[in-house]
Amino acid sequence: MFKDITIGQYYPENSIVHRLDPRVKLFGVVVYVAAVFIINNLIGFIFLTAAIVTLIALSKVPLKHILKGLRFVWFLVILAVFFNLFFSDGTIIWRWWIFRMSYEGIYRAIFFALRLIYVIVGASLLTYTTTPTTLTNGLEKVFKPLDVIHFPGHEIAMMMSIALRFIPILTEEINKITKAQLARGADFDTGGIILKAKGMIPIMVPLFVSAFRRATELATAMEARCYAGGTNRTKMFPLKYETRDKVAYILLFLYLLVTIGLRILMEHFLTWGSI
Amino acid sequence: MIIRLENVNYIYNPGTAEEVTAISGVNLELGGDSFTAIIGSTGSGKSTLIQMLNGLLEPSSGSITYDGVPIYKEGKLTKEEKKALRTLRCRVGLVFQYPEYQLFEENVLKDVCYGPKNLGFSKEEQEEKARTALSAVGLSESLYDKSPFEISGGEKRRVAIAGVLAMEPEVLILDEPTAGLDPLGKSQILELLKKYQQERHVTVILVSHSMEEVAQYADRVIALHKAKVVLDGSTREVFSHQQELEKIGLGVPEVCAFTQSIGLGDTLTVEEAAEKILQMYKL
Amino acid sequence: MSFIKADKISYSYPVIDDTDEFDSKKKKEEEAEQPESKKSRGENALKEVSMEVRQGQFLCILGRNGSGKSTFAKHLNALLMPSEGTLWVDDIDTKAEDQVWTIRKTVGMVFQNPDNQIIGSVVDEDVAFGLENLGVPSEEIQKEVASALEGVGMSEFAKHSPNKLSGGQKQRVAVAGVLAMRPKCIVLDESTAMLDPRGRKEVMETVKKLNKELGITIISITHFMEETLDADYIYVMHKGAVALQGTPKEIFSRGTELYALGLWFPQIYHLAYILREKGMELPDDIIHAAELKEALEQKKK
Repeated sequence: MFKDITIGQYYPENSIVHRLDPRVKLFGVVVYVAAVFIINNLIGFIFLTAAIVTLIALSKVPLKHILKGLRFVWFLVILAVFFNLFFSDGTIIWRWWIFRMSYEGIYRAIFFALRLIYVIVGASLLTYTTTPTTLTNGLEKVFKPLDVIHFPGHEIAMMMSIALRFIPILTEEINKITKAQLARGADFDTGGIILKAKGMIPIMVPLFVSAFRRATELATAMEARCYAGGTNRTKMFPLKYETRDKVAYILLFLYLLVTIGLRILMEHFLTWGSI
Repeated sequence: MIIRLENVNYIYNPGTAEEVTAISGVNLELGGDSFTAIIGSTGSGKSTLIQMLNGLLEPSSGSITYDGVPIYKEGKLTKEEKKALRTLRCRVGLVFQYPEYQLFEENVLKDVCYGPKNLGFSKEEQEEKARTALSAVGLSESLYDKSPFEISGGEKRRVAIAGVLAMEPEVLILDEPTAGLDPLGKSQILELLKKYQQERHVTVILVSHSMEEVAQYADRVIALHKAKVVLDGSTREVFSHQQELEKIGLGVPEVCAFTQSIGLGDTLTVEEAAEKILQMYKL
Repeated sequence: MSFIKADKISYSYPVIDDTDEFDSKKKKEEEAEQPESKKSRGENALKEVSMEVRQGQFLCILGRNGSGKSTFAKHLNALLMPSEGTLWVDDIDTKAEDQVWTIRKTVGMVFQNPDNQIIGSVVDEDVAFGLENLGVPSEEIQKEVASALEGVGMSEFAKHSPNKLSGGQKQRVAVAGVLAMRPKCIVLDESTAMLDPRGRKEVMETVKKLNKELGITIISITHFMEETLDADYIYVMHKGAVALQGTPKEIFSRGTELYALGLWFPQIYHLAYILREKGMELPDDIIHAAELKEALEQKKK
């Protein structure tokens, strides 16, 4: 049941987007998400679409693969659209029982759906093009300045990378335990929700016991290999900015400025095409 | 009981780039009064095969029957039909590798009751079956009310095996039941399985990597290689194919290789080899 | 001059939360039923263990589950400190707190479950973990990682995910992770227990090579008798104490004593043993097939 979760799984390719420094990409995602919410007009969206399509093309990740990842959020999108469409106030054009539809609601629904899809596409492009380790290395580096206020940046990064490494192992483990209990005649499909939840105990207890055992063993193994937290640690491949990263930073700044500029321009001087 | 496999295939991820044929065109008849061993190197398809034997995996094609009754039905099943299939499949018990990782109840006895409970037995019957199973694996009664998490590794293993025995399967399949145990723990488990098999005249199917274990305990050996059954016969017969076994990465017990190297033919156990050597020198 | 010297070390676990300790807990409960005077200070997982290991030796430690083998192993790189007695590793007392990192660098550990000791999501990053912890400069790490992976024959997997490797390959990666720190000694704590015969062979051949070519001391804790045949020296532990010690030939010639310790003979030794029992005159230190064959041929003449 966990096998199908492909959203955000690293897609190995050798593209310029893959090679960018993770810090640049993290900054890129922040700029991109900000842009998605700053934009309130059609021109902005066209501009945004051009940007993300170019990035996808540069990343060499097939569009089909990215859209496949969206499969799992359709439900979220439809739910959001539904609520915006039928429960928004404004110029009411249709009303039935508790449902009401308005022009404002239609706009909001469309743009809400678009924003959600754009955010997910952008964020998943980050994880498609960056290995979990590189990503955590990037995060660790980004959080580094916060050491002065004792923010546990290294610890968070280490926890993330260990979690990422153990997800497939624990998934496999759930699978094994489920089968073992099925072989003992367990019935996981019939019965009401309470019976079903109770039926999960034979899976959850062994899973937790095993996870704790793994955690203890892993901690011992880390200690045996001289792990003592983040202080004085070095990296085999330390992050280093290349020219392409600097160029990317400049482009991102420019893009952010243009987006903000567009919005101001639209609000003050033009009325057509605004939302 | 006889499990019959006809033309059974199993393919993982069919139709994708990661398609793997785990079992290919297997015809087999298992069961009867036998201690059978299944051998094969990692990736030969052993674990897929044993999971199909009790209905945990459905073959991609081919049929599996217990005494002629198919264990899979086509189409949408009603609740009753599903339940009937589940009960049917419980005639074959499967003990996974490191089975102690499936223990979950608050005490040993309750954990062993889990199987019989799922089969719909009354409280008294559950306990009776659990007690019988626990004594079959030689666990002392003083441990029955202990938590399954605070007993030793070897004891946990035995509790887990009892958990399947309590369902009184007619065919008991064990995937490397001795993995990770010390030599004494290993022989204790194998001895109790042998005893169980001989007393009840049921089928015990042992998956093992140790040729010494197989030679000493099994009466029939099935060797798998690259998704196919390559050897199937009495233990002596299979171990006479030393070269084939070595080719598929398995080999024969050390003592068997030794007697062959001094021209005394195959031997299965150390005792047998000793006898043959003594005979040769007395003559 | 000994490389590792344990002088009557004893140890008892303070809290109880792992397999070896389960046993000691059980013992404690049994002991609780005994009169107060008998349970002086809880059950010791180790009882006055003395051992000596020379640099470059291939040493095996045998014993039943719960005999204290793993507890002893954890003392060797200061994961645990003896409650009593002293343990010297490369002339350093393991209780010296400021020397912990030196000791852990000197003695590397490879554990039983391959999945629970690999930290990195990529093979080479995992091998680098120890060196990164020690604050070694990046260029040096890259060099050491490459040579460690070559040492265990895993260079071509440097950029692979450990999840896709076989058990034997994972354990070789774990060996490389230790090897990269240039240890003088590698401790294998039942590192082959969860592997299939091929994986077991891979790992044992790798460490034997490291022992021969680089002179790294190997301490192997195992249940597989055949892995001990080529050892320089064997210690057999029982209930937290050293029960037997000697060369493989000396150990196996103790005969039925081994049964009592829960150990089995290797098949060839067993065969020779039965033949001797039945009145055949054979040297009593035969453990290899070739030796038995030769002895039998001599008798023919």
